Amino acid sequence: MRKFTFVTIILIVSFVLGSCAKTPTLTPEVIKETVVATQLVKETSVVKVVETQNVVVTATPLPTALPKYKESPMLAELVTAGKLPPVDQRLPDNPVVVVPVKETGVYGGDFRFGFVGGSPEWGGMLYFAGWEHPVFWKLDFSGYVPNLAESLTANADASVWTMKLRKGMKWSDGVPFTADDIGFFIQDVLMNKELYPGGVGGDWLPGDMTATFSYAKADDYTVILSFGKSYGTFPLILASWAGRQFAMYPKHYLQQFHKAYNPNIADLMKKQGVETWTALFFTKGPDTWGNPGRWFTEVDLPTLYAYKVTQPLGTGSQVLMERNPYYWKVDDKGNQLPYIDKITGIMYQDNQGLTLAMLNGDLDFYNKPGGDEEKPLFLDAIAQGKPLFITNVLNDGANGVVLQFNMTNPDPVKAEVFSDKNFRVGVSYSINRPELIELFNSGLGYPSQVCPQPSSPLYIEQCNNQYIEYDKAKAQEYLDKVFTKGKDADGFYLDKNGRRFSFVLIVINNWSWAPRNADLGEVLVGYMRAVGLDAKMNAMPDTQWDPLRLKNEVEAFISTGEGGAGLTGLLDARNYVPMEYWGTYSNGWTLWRLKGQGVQGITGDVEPPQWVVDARKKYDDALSAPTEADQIARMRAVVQEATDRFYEIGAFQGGEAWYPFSSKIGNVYDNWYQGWIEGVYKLLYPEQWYLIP
Amino acid sequence: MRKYLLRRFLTMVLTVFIISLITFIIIQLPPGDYVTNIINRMLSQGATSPSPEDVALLRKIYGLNDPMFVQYIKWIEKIIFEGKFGYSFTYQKDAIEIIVARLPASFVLSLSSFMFVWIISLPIGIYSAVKKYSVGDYFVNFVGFVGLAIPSFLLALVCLYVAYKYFGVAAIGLFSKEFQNAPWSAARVLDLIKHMWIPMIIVGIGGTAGLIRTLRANLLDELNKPYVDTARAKGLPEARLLWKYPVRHALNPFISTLGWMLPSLISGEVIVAIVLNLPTSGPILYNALASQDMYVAAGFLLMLSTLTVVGTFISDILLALLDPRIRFQ
Repeated sequence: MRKFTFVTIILIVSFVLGSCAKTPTLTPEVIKETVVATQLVKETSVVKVVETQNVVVTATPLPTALPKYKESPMLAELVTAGKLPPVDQRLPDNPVVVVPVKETGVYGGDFRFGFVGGSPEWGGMLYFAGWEHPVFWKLDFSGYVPNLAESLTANADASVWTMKLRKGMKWSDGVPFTADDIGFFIQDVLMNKELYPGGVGGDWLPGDMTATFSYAKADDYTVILSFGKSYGTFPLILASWAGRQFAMYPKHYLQQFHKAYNPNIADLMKKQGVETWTALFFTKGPDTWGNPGRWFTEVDLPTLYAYKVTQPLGTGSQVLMERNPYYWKVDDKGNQLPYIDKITGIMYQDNQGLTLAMLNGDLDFYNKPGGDEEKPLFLDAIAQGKPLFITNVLNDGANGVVLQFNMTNPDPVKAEVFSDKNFRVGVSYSINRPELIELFNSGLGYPSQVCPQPSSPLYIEQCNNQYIEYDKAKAQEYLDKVFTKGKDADGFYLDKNGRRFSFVLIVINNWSWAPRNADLGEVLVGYMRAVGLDAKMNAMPDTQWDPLRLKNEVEAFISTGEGGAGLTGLLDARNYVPMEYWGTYSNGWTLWRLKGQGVQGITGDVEPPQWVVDARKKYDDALSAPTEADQIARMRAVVQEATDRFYEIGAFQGGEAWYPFSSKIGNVYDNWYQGWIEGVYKLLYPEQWYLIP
Repeated sequence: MRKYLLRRFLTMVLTVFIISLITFIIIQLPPGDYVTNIINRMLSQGATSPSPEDVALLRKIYGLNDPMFVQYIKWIEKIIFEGKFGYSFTYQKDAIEIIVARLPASFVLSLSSFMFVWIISLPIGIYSAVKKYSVGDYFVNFVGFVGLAIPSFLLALVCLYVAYKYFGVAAIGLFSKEFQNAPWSAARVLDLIKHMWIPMIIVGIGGTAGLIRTLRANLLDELNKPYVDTARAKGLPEARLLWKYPVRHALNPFISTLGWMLPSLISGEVIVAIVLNLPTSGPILYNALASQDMYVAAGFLLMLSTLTVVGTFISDILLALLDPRIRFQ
C-alpha cells in the first residue's frame, strides 16, 4: 500500500510552461487521499476544483509580444516605471513550478506573522521567508525533489555528485546566480584557512571526507563535487538544515569583504570598527556557522529567498519584508510566486501575548508554542466567529516520550544498573502507556517504543512493540534480576552495596516544543516509584542543563523523539545509534566523540567500548552507502541493533497535533507534517499561500 | 552644607566604581559565554561541532579572549571616554544604542504610573488616617492589601483575559500595528494613550497599596502630636490644619525614597512588560541576561545602579533642604 499520497500538490520541476494563459475552464477532479496518522487508516475523499481561470490582472499594458509569465501588480508598476526588467527576464529559463494546493492565488497583501524572542529567523520567519536548499524533501519524507538545483546526479558509487543550476536564475539584485557563487562559497569561504582555521567547515561535508573532497566548475551552471568516498545520502543532507549554505554566498556582493578580492579592505574594516577582515566577513555575510539570520538584519545582502528584509527588527518590535522580484518559482499558470507581497513580522515578549493576538485575529499566522492546552481556546474563538481555522499536523517523530538512562554515569554502581537491559525492560513494563496517551497526547495515537513509524521503510515491528504492556508484575520480575539485594523497609530496591538505589530524572522545563515536560516527568517518576525505584525529578532550564551534560552529571533524562517518519531516522539517528548529541543514554561516549572533534569545556567524557564504536561505524556506512536501497537496508540493521540493545524507553507514537491559521490564508493543506528536518512550515510551500481578498 | 554635599558626592563616585566592578564580575559568573551559547544552539540544531581554532577565532572576534580584568578596563575605558557601553552580540550595535532606543517608552510608562500612584493614594491615605477604623477605612485598607498581595504580572494576565473575553481586545503592546514604526505624530500619541492606561494601572496598583499604608501610619503618628491639638485649640480650620502640618511631616519618608524612582524609570516592571508585550527596556534586559549578551546586560545593570546611587544623592539633598537636623549631623 502506498502510505501517503498527497495528490493535492504536485511539484513539477524541469517543466517549461508554454501555454499558460489559455481559455478559462473549470475542471472538477476527484482525488482520493489516504493519510496514515495512526495504525488506523483514515480515508478522506476530497473534491478538488482545479481552476484554470486566470484571476490575476496585471497592471501593465501588454507589450507587443505576449509575456510568458505574469507578476504581481506591485512589481508590474516598477517594470512600467523602468525600475525593474520585465518578468520574463527576471525568471530563469526553467523556473521551479509549484502547483497550488487548492487554487490559483491572488497577488498582494501584507501577511502578519507573530513570534517570540529577538531573532525573527528562529522565531519562525526562516521557515516561510527563507529555507531554500539545492533540493527539497518530498512531502512524505520518502526522498527529495529538485529546488535551487535543476538536477543532482551521482556516479555509480555516489562519490562524485554533479549539481546543475538553473540558467538565468538571479539574486534579488538581478545578478545571475551561477557556479561561481558555489565556487566562492566552497573555495574562498569554506576552504579559506583564515576564515576556517580549523579546517573545512560545512556540515554537509563529513569530517572524514574533508581531505579527499574537491570542487570543480564544469560550466557556468554545473558544479562537480567529488567526495572521494561514497556519499549516498548527500541529497537528503542537502534537503535538510545542512544544505542551507548553497544559497548563502552571493560572490558579487560578499567579495568586497574578502581579503583575496578587495585590496582596500582595511577601509571597510575601519568603517565597521573591526580589527580583522575575518570579523568583517562574518559580520556582513553569514557567520561562522552559516546562520541564515543575516538575511533578516542586513538590508543590502542579496538573497535567493522568496522575501527580502526591508526593515530589520533592531530594537523595535516589527520586522518588515517584501517579495524578492527575482524569485525563481512560478505556479502552474505561469504566475511568479510568491502570491503575497509583504510580510510584517511582529515580535511578542512571551507565548501568552502571542497566543492572545492570534486568538483575537490580529495575526494571520504565528509560531505556535508547543503543547495542546490552547486548543479549546481556539475552538471557542472559532465558535465565536473569529476568522480562524485549524489544520491537523501529523507527527513526524519516533515517540512522544523518550526516557533515557545514562549508561556512562560516573558512578560505577549506577552505570552498571543503567547498562543492564533488564533494568530498562523492567522500567518499560512499569509505564502505563494508555494513561500517558490520555494525559499527554489528547487520547490519540498508540503505545510504542522509540522507533520509525509504521509507514517508514525503516519500520521494524519488534522495535515498536516490545515491552510495551503495562504490567507491574513483569516489571518487578525484571528488576528483581537487577537488584539481588532486594528492597528496604520502605519498599525501594537496594543496590549491590546494600544502599537504597536512587537517581534523579532531569527534565528541561523551558523547551518551547515540550511545555509539559515537567508534568510528564512527575508522572514517569510516579510509575517508577510504584515498582520500587527511588526516582526523583529535577526540572531545570536548558542553560542549567548544558554544563551538567558536559560534566556527564546525568542519570536519567527525557529527550526528544526525532526520526519517525520516512527516511528522517536515517539522517537524525539520535534514538538509534549511540554518541549522538541528544542520545543521553550514551552521554559520556558522546562527549568523548565531541572532545575528539575539539569541542571545549568537556570534562565528563568516557571512552566507548568496542561495540559502541562498531555500532557507530555501521551507521556511518549506512549514511555513505551509494543507493537508497542500500542505505535503507543498512539503516534497518542499525535500528534492529537498537531494538535488541533497547537503548531507551518510549511511550507512544502518532496522534495529531493541530495548528491554527487565519481564515484569510488560502492554499493551506488540511493535513501536514511538521518537523525541523524539512524546514517546519516550508513543507507547506508558503510561497503559494495567498491572502483571500 | 557644602562639606556635607562634597562628602556625599565622593562616596557616590566610590560606590559607582565598586558597583561597576561587581556588575562586571556578576555578568561573567554564569558558566559559558555568548560563544558557548551559540555553539550549543548550533549543536542542538544538528550542526557539526566547530573546531577549537574556529571557536578561538570567534572568541577573538567577540573580544572574549582577554583575561577578565583586561576586558573590564577596556569596557570602562570606552564608557568614560567614548560613551560606548560595549558591542551587543545579539543586536550588533553598541549596547547604549539599544538601551536608549527603549528609554522613551519606559519613561512614559513609569512616570504615568508613578503619577497614577500618587494621585490615587495621597487622598485615600489621608482619608483612611483621618477616618481611622471607619467602614471606609476598612474598605480601602482591604482593597489596598489585596492590591499589595496580588503580583502585578498575575493582575496583568487577568486583565488580558478579561479584556479579550468580554471586550474582544488583545490588550497587549503600547501601539497599534500601524503605529508601531510610525514617526511621532498627534495620532500616534493618541494611540499610545489608548494603550497606556492598562499597563499604567497594573504597574501602579501594587505601589498604591504600599503608599496608602505608609501614609496612613505616618499620618496617624503625627495626628496625635500636641502641635495638632494646639492648632485645633487655636481654631484653625480642620482642612487647612491637616494639609499644612501633619501631612507635610508625614511625607518625609517619601522624599527620601523619591530618588529611587530614577532606576524604575529605566527598568520599570520587567515581568509586567513581558506579559503585556510592552516595548520598554525591561524585556531587553531580561533577554540580554538570558542569552549572555554581556555588554547589554552589564550596561543596563551599571546604569540602573548608578541611577539608584544618584537618586539617593538627590534624595539626600532634598531631605537636607527639608529637614535642618540632617544638615548638621
